[in-house]
This record gives sequence, structure tokens and C-alpha cells, in this order.
Amino acid sequence: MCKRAGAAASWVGPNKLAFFPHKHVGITSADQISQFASNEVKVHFLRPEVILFYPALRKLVNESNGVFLSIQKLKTSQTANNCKPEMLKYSKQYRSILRACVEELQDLAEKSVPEKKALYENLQTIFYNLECVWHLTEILYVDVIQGDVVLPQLLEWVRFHFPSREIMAMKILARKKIGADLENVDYWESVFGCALHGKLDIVRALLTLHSKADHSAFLAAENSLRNMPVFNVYGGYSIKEFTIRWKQWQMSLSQSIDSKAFSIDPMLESLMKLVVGTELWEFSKYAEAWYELLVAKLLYTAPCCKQPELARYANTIGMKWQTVKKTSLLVLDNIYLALMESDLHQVIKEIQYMNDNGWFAAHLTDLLYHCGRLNIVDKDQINVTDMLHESLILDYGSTMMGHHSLWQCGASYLEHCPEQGHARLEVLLQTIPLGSEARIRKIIDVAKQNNMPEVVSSICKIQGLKCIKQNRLGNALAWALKSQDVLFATHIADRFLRHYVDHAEIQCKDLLENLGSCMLVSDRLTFLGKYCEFHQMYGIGEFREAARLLVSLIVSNLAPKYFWSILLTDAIPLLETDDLVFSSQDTYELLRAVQRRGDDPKFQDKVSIFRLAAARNLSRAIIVEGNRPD
Amino acid sequence: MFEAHSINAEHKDLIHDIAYDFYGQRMATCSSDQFVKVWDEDEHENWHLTASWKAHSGSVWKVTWAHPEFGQVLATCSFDRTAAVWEEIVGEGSGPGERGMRHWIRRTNLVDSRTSVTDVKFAPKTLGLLLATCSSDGVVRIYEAPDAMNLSQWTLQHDITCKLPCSCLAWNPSLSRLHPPMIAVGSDDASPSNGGKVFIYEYSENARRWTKTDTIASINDAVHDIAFAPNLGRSYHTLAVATKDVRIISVKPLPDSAANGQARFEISTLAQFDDHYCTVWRVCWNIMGTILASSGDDGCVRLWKDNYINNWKCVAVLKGDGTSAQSSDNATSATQNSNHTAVQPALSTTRYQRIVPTISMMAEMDKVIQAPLSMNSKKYQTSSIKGRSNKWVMPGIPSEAYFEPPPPNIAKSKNKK
Repeated sequence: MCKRAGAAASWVGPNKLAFFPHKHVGITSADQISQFASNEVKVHFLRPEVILFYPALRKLVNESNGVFLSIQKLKTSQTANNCKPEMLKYSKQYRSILRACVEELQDLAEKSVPEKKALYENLQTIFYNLECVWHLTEILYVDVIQGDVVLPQLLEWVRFHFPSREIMAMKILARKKIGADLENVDYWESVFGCALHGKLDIVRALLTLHSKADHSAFLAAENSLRNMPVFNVYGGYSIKEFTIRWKQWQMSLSQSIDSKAFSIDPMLESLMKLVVGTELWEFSKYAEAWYELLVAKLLYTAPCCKQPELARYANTIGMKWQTVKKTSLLVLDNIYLALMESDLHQVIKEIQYMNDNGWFAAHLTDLLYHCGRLNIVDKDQINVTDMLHESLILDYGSTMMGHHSLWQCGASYLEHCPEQGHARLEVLLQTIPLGSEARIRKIIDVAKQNNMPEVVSSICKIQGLKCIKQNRLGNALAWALKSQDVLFATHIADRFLRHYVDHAEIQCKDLLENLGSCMLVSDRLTFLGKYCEFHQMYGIGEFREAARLLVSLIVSNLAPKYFWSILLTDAIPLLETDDLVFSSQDTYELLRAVQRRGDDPKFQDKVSIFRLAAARNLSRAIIVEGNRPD
Repeated sequence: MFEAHSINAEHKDLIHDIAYDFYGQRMATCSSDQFVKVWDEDEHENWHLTASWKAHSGSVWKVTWAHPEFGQVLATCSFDRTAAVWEEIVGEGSGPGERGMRHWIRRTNLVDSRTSVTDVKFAPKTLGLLLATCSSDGVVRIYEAPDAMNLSQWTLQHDITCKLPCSCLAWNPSLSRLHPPMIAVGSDDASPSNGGKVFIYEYSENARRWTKTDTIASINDAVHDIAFAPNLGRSYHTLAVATKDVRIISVKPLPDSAANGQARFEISTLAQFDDHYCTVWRVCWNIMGTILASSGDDGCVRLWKDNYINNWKCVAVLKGDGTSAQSSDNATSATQNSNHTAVQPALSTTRYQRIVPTISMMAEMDKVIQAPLSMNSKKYQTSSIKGRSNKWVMPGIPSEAYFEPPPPNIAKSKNKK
């Protein structure tokens, strides 16, 4: 029907869309039944699925929020230069949060029913990949590597993420049987796999289990592998010295290969060719990803490769991988490539499509930003780093604000967006559905912290209005006081007074008697408060005080028109008390008031009584006052 | 997990307008059947019809909510030449634990127009309880309820005569006190010779009247809908216009322009899209003013978003068909997903990649795109980014790469344990 009639959409709240068939009518359209009148009219609701709202990911969201906030604190207390070790610590915290999350998802997947299982497994894939990318980013951009030689870290990264060959090797080693090559079909696969990852100790252990392990060729190979120099920052050699040693070792090994020292076993020979750095692509079948080959290439041909040179190697291997494997690079591969090529702009572009609702992009970008590693210019060579950084955090914060219980977390992100965060928070705070009083209090607290008095006032007013609708005047007044809205407070005070006029009882006495300075919000409320005080005094027999209050109420002229008859009626018993409570001055005021205001029809039957009482009181007062010594 | 669902609106004819309250928890619909219906969402996200009444004696064109500070208040306008203000009353004497009966009563009927009233909008709440209407005879009227607690008294404060028939109006939602109250009015007069079709009116506190301060000269075609984006601290206003295409216009107030008699605004077109290939009828901003939804005769809703350097792009095309469940030619993604609701994330991970080349730097991409892709109902077809994906392939990246699933790394993480 949408297709035939056309469609329209409206936004529901911050992130939902309602979609309905709609035919436009212009000013000239006639008012007639459309051709679609017989069809069922439907409204469709669409909402983006936010995986971060799954309960399983709640921990991730909250914990990462904590780390994010500590980074922001760090930024304000320290300069960017000397906080590198701190940043590394935070990066590791993020990664451990990710890993904990993956493990939890794994547990959940094992325990749950098949339909749920698939979901958790997919989430695992997403977050596992995030961790992998984060790890590489940490190595290349956050960690401070002595001498800039990245190979050891890269090796660790690859070993960590591709452990299958090592596990295979461990299984073979566990059997401790000579002749492992004959018993295990995957013997050579695990040897080459470990060699690609630079796990030479395992390779050597495996070689000793070979059926021909006693042969001189194997012994020579073992020896050669043992003596391979491995670069270590703390190894005591400078890069130059190391390179010389390594070159010498390589030379002697390649001489051995040339002299057919390893030719008794073709597999052994090709292993040594790999190690000496002459062959690489034959082993691509043992690698699952192009970067496995990359680290092998670096290990055996350029062990001292520095980060700037990495890009060239990565690019060559990446390109060749595609032709050799006849595949093209996947998204993740492209991210790794961009990371190695130091193209952070591209990285940030790509990581936004990781399907994690912006969690990764926001947090990783923020980390890099605070490490001072982000420097992104647009096509006009204008530095847009700040804008990019803020837009990612804004988006993430806004997403979180859309959840009924994660909004506080979202607010904490928006608070750290200097440009647009405040305005956006102001809008979004007000759209959080007001639920329980506890939640409203939380919303108000956040608004107060961020200096948004208008938001506080608005929320209180809405809440007050709701209370009025439910006839809970006391609550409504409490909200009106919080909102500090004069008109609204006046309106509610009026309601109280009118209720008194109609029913001769004061509602919510406790509240009204304890208003204190709050009553000054509006004149009408002040009047109400004072009038209650009058009742209180009268009730406990403090007639003199009561009379004083009553006179001041009358003189102040604050009373609404409909309330004058009540005020004047209240004066009558006080005029007739045994002890004199109104002075002659007071009585004149009362008489003046009755002259001006006593025309209320409800008061007509009391006018004569009032005048009589006033006259008698006046006479008593004049006598008392006349007898007073000056 | 229910990410999309449908309700039957129970109207006897097409819906002309749907309005949501401030929190997105209440929905008001209006239709040619002269009825207005109010729906409430429960905590399980189901919508319940809570009120339905015959509001006018003609088609009801538009319905709109007042800010909740004024209570539960609706305004409607109709072909019957009137606009009306409605308030919800919760009946007293409800049983314990049971909500009182709700009903809507007409607080006022605004009968000044002599022709069909085409649009009605409440002013931003900072201006008080103000209501603007516009009608096909080209008059914009501004009403005020002087006492916000009393909705039955409305006074006609101003009437502004535009020279052309008015089809739509929008208040500038800016909360800044630096900006005087502003209304944009659109006309669907079809003749280009009559000049610009979007007029901007501002209220002058000193003169106590509304004056036309500018006309957007670049739009000469009929205008069907306009909407200001919420102004979140920007120095300029953003106006979306539905005309023969989608336009996003920036209206930037110039300082001191009133004094020297120069133009009041610097008006520039931020974006212009003809992707609908037909007239655009409606435009609608999300609450943050970050995503614009536009719709037209083609039955598609397109979502537009800008990035951190204000580059506007299409982020999604939604195509809905509530009746023809069997048309599955382009429903591959929908059906795949509907088999398995639970696998949505990963399916969309892989499916996403198709879209990747089309848009760069769309942080909100996933939010938007995922909507159609993760749809549960078979009745939805998603023609995700038709056509555009071909146009926007990034150079140097073979697009086939994106069709492959991500490497199954997860197996390894398990082995590790």
C-alpha cells in the first residue's frame, strides 16, 4: 500500500521511526474518500537494533564508561606528553573488558538454547574482532616501544590470535614419541605454522621427535635454529650489532642449504629456506591471514623493521596475498592494513562498520585522541580531528541516551563534548520518559550538575501538572516549589484556597505549615502559607498572634477576591474573645476592609454581626488603651 | 527481540498525519475519516488505542502535541475551515489501582479561516502557549492562550497575509533569547513565476507585529512541507524543505542587519537531493536534528545525515509495504533475517559491507541501516540503498571483498581456553 499510495514517516522519540502510507493533499485537494479507503491502514514502527542494549553487554558498556571517564579526568590533570604509560594502562583495561565480555558471551552461548546461541556467537565474533584490532592499535600507537622495533609485539599479537598451530604442536609434543612425523599427519603443518609465528623453540622440540631426528641434517638444523639471534631491546646489543650477528648467522645457514646439508628431507630443507628468508609464499597455505605471512617475512628478512617501514612490507604482502590466494581483503584485513600504513583516518572510517553501534569507534578514537596520535585533515587541509572525535562520542552518547536505564551513561559521554554536548544533553534529558520519582530525581540531578535550571524547572512543572490531574495537590505543590515557576505555584495555591472555600478544610496541612521561605515563590502561595499559620495559631489558642497575622493578611491585600469573605468571617470570633486581641488600630483596619470587600454575597448575612462585634471590640480596646499609662 | 512491528491504525481512510508526544510514548493519528485517535505505548512497546473521536466535519489534515508543560493537549486542523485544541481529562472516581477513564474534550474551536486550514503548530514553549495556523487562502494566524492553565480562552493575536496559498508552516525551535520568534511558511503554489515559495517571518518585540524578513528565492516550485531542525547551539538555523526534491537550507542571522537595512539572513543551500525521482511530500527531523527523514510518492522514506564536516548524505532507504507480503523480489535480506531473529547482528555485519562503499564516515549508519535489515516482519521489504551503492563505490577497493563474512576467528578464541 505504501508503494501505491506513497509513504510518510515521523520520528518517535529519539531513535524510532513510524512509517505509514500517506497520500499528500495540497490546498486544492478535495475532501473526499480516497481510493484506499477500503484498505487496512497500518502504521509500522522501525527501530535500529542496538546490540549494546543486550543485558549480556551491560557490563562492557558500564565498565568502558568508567575507563572513558578516567581518561577524561587524566586529560584535565595532566598534559598529553607525560601520560603515555597511563594511556597504555587504560588501553589494556579496555582490552581486558573486551576479553571478559567475549568470555562471558562464550559462557552464555554454551548455556543457552540454540536460537540464543547463534546470537551470542555472533556477538562474540564482533567483540573478538574488536579486541584484535584494538590489540594491534595498542602495539602500533599507544605502546611506547624502545627503539621502535615492532616485531616482538607483532609476533605476540599474531601468536595470540592464531593459536591453533601451536595447540596442534603441543598435542604432538605431549605424546613424547619419536617418529611423530609418521604418526601425525599434521606434523609438518604444525612445524611450519610455528615457524611462521617465530615459535622456534617449539619447532626445535618437534624436530627432535622426527623419525630421523638423529640424522646429522636434523642436528644441524636444530643447532642453527637454536643459534638464531633474536632481537631484544634489553638484550644488550644495539640494532647495528644485532644486524651484523644476524647477517652472519643467515649467511652460514644459507651456505649450509646450498651445500645440500638438509637435503635428506625435503620438508626440512624448505623449513630452513623459510628460516633463512628465501622462501615465503610456499607457506601461504599454512597461514590463515596475510599478516601471519607479514610477521614471518619480517622475522626472517627484516627483524629490525621499524614502524615507518612497516607500511611498505604490509602493502606488498597484502597485495601479493590477494593474487596468490585469489581472494580479496576483507574489512578486517583492510583495517589492519590501514593501521600498519598509519592511515588512522581510514581506520576510523572502517571501524565504524563493525556493527557495535559505535562503541569501538568512540572509545578507540578517544584513546588515540588523548594519546595525541590523531591528526586528521580534510581535503582542504583543515584539521578536523576535534570535530571527528567529538562527533563519534556524541553519536555514541546519544545512542546510549536512548535506553531507559543507560541514559546516565550516555549523559556522561555528552558531558565531555565541548561543542555540542551541552545542547544535545539538554534536549535528550527532557525526552527521557519520566517514570518513577527516583528516576525523575536522577534526571534532575544530572540537569543540575550540568547547570540546566530550565530543564529542572520544566520537568518539575510537568510532574506537578500530572499530580494536579490526579488531584494530588500536595505533591503538585512540592513539584511547583522545585520548579520555582511563579504562575504554576500561584495556580496551585489558588486550588488550595478554593478547596478551603468549598470544603472548609485545609489539605496537606503538614506541607503548608512547613513551607518556610519557599512560600515566597509567589504572592498567592505566601498568602496561603500565612493563612495556614493563622489557623495553626488559632488552633493552639494563641489568639493574639492569630489576630496579628489576620490583620497583616488583610492589610497586605494579597487575598484573592473569592477569599475575602473567609478572612472577614475568621475575624468575628477573634473580635469576641474574652481577652482583647485587636487594638483599636486593628479594628479600624478591619472595618475599612469590610467597607471595601464586604460586598461578597456569601458574606452579606454576616456583615451586621461583623459590624456589631467590631464595635464592641473597639469600645473595649479604646477603654483599655485609654487606661494605659503613657 | 522485536525491532519492527506494525499496528492497524483502525482509520477508515488514509492517515494524513501522525504526531508523537515529547517522549515518544503517545501517538495521535488523523485521517480523512474525520477522526482523531490517540494511542499509548505500554512498557512492552505495544500500542493501545485509548481514545478515538470525530474531531471535525471534514478531513483532518494535521495533528500536533503541545509541550507536556501545558498538559496533554492536541491541536488539529481540518478541511472544515477550523482548527481545534483538545485536552485530555482524566475522569475522577476511578476504582483502586485502576486508571481513570480518559477522554478528550474540545477546549476551543478556531473558526477565523474562511478556507481549509492546512497546518497547525504549537510555538516553542518558551514563547508561552501559542498556536500558529495557516490556510489555503494564504493567511497565517497566531493564537495565544494568555493563561496557560486555561485552555478554553484563545485570542487571535496576529494574522499575517501571505500573497500565496499556504501549505505548511514551521516554528523555529531555537531556545536562544538572541533569536526573535520566527516562523517559516511554505506555499504549494505551482507557478514558478510567483517567485520564492518559502517565507520567513519574525516577530518584532518593539513593533509588536510579525513581519516578513526574508523569502528563500532559490525555491520556486511548490513547497509541501518544511521543518526546522532543533537548533543545538548552532549559529545558524537549518530548514528542511520538501519540494520537487529534498532541500536542506541554512538560515544564518546576520548581525546588525536591521540597523543598516541589509538582508536579515544569509541563506544558503546545504544540500539538495533528487533521489526520490518524484515530488517530496514530507520532511521530518529526529529530535536531535541529526537525521532527516523525507518521503514522497515513490513510497520510500529516505534518511539523511550529515557527518562531522557537515556533509549530507543518504544513509538509508526504507521501503515499506504493509499489504503485499508475497512480493519478495528484493526481500532477500528481510527473509534471511526473519528466519532467525537471533542472528541479526552477524547477518547485518556481513550484509553491511555492501553499504560500506556508499557512505563514508557515517557513525550513525548502523543505527539507521540496521533498522530495515533486522526487520522481523516479512511484510517489510528493504531495498537497502538502491542504485546509490553503485554510484558511490570507493575507488581502489574491490567491492566483492565486502561480501565475504569476517574471518571465523571465534574458533580460535575457544581453543585458547
